Amino acid sequence: MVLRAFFQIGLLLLLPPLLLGVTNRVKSLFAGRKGPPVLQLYSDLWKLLRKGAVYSRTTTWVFRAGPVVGLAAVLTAGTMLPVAGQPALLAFPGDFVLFAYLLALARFATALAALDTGSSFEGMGAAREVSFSSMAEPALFLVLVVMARATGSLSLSGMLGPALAPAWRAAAPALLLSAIALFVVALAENSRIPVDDPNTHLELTMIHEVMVLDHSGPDLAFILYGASVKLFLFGALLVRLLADVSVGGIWAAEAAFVLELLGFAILVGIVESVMARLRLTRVPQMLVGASVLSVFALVLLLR
Amino acid sequence: MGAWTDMAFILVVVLDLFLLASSRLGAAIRAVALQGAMLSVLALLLTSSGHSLRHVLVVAGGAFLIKAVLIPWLMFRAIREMAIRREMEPLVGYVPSMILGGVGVVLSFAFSRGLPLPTNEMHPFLVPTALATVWTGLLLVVSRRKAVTQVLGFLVLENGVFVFGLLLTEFMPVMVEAGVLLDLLAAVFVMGIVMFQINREFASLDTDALSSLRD
Amino acid sequence: MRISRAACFVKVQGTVFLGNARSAEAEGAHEAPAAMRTPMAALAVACVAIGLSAWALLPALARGAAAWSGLPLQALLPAAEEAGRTMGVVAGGAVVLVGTVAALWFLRRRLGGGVAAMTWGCGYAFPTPRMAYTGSSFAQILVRGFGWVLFPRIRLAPPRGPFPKGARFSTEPREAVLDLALLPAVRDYAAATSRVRGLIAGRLHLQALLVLATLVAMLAWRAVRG
Repeated sequence: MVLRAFFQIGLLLLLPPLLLGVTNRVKSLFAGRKGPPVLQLYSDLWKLLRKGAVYSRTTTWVFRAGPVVGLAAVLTAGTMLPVAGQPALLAFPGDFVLFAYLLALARFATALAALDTGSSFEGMGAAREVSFSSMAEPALFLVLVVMARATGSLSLSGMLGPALAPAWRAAAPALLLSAIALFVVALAENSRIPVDDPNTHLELTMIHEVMVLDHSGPDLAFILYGASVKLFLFGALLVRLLADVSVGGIWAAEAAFVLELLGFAILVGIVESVMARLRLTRVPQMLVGASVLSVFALVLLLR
Repeated sequence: MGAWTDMAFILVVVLDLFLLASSRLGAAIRAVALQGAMLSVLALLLTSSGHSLRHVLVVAGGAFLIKAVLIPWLMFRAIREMAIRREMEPLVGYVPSMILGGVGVVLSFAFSRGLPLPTNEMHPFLVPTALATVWTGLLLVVSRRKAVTQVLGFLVLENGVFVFGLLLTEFMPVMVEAGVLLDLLAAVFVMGIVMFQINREFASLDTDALSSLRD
Repeated sequence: MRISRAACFVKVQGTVFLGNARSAEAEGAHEAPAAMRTPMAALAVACVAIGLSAWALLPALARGAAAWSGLPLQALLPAAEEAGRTMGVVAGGAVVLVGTVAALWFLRRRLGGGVAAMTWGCGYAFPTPRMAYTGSSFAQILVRGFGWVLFPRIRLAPPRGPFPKGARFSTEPREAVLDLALLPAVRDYAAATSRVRGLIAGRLHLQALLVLATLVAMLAWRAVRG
């Protein structure tokens, strides 16, 4: 039990940068490049952690607290996510609401830090990030409500636990629709391609990246690491919802879970490679579409 | 079998929502074609022992040929001839029309059980899908500006009526259904000719421009 | 909802407290005296304490509720204890969050220190209040995207010509139900009734006529109903 808890925490802390590495590798393979090593982000983080930081004279403690609070919030959210069908470290009825609020807290901290610099570009990025995520939010909540209704459980551990398999047999269409909506939300929340381009270098087109322009050194490391943890969280949610593998013992299930997560990273890489970025005015349409899809899923479930 | 029928109905509704959101005419025509194909699949999937197989095959085959092949081909030809690719900003924006579509879906699923219908043995998704599709078609016809999209809306409307007709396959003679399909084809032909005329006269398919006609 | 609220707070806090001052008055702003801050702090501390110790407080609250409402204690206590256990886990989550923040903050202090510099960004060499990002700009995407329910009042004076003297952009979402439907209706109703009152007030024969008309109408109603 203690061993498994340590394993879960270790997975949460160590795996996320690997996912981004896999995604980037898939993208470079599609582009015909060799691409950076899969473990590149680990080296980047290590390098950044040893560097000094530069702070704008305009900033206050809010700017310094941004990365810390953001990372702490996503890590705490991670303790509520069940790994491979086993209950999470922290589970109580209604914890999915806290999960969503912690993700919002992370965004709140980052947006405040961006506004603290006084730069118009970062203010613009914060405005976009907050606007788009407030449109993605109904979809996320509706997906969670669909899952809660289908499994009859109010906790993430229950939703993604043993009750999931019978729910799939009873309400496959609704769960499938909500999984699609969840994937759209995951792409939007993690600022991946149809919504935001993580590689762009033009402030006017950035969303998430422009908010963190002023962060450097360890602060930037915290932010990059937090972003990868967030991708891990959404990936874990989606992977558990879609592929409920509980073959063999606990450890086989955990191994399958890790493999599925890598599959999720590859899928994100493929989506980023084959899709163009949407015009900014089209992004709200996609997010509202995801919400409408999850409303439809809920209706299918309720009738 | 039941799960596949469920998925087919849900795909029809999802295509409705997609049509409300899409601004590219090519994608919208493909979606309408796919919806037509799904309708013919549905006609086959819903076959029960009470139906005559020949009847079902004729209806499904006719629907596939006309709705999924012939009309989309005509529409593609039309947009190629007239060199239009995109809908312009519609009267009701994409986001509001998607939300309206979602509201329509919710209402049709909520209220379809209270309707008095000739048969009770039907798929639970049939009537709501038909209502949602008719609603989507109406929305498209009313809120879009380009004549092409309005024709697409009319097709969606007609698809909804067809879904409703699946309920009545036992009661309706084949000739009536064939007549409906041919009627649709004739209507699309007429609209195509009208579209060509509008385009030739005004070099645009914006139907708003029609209301400013003067002697 | 969740993030819309977060967006609202980011807008208010970000544009009021953070970045450069937006105006000359704001330049001279200073913190309120301690006597004003202490009561707020005390209330906040009490809120946090209640939140963290809900597992201990809820059963006691259930006893109090039982005594007050006259319901048997057995009906309330198990539910309260159940909720208390949940609240205990929630408090555990809060402790995890605060602990992680503290640990990361400590870690951050041990890592590389900071050098002070100018904010990085194009055209940010000499910031003036006019350049600062405003709350209206921050909310623009949401206000425009939901303009069909918010009915925002938008004032836009774009910069014109070289060396523009001024430009202005402000959006002000209006309360759709209250400001656009209810208040005009009430105002119109008030105007109409006051006009009628002005017509009648002080004219005895008009009032008598009104009473008579009412009586006749009631009689007619009675006659029709049989």
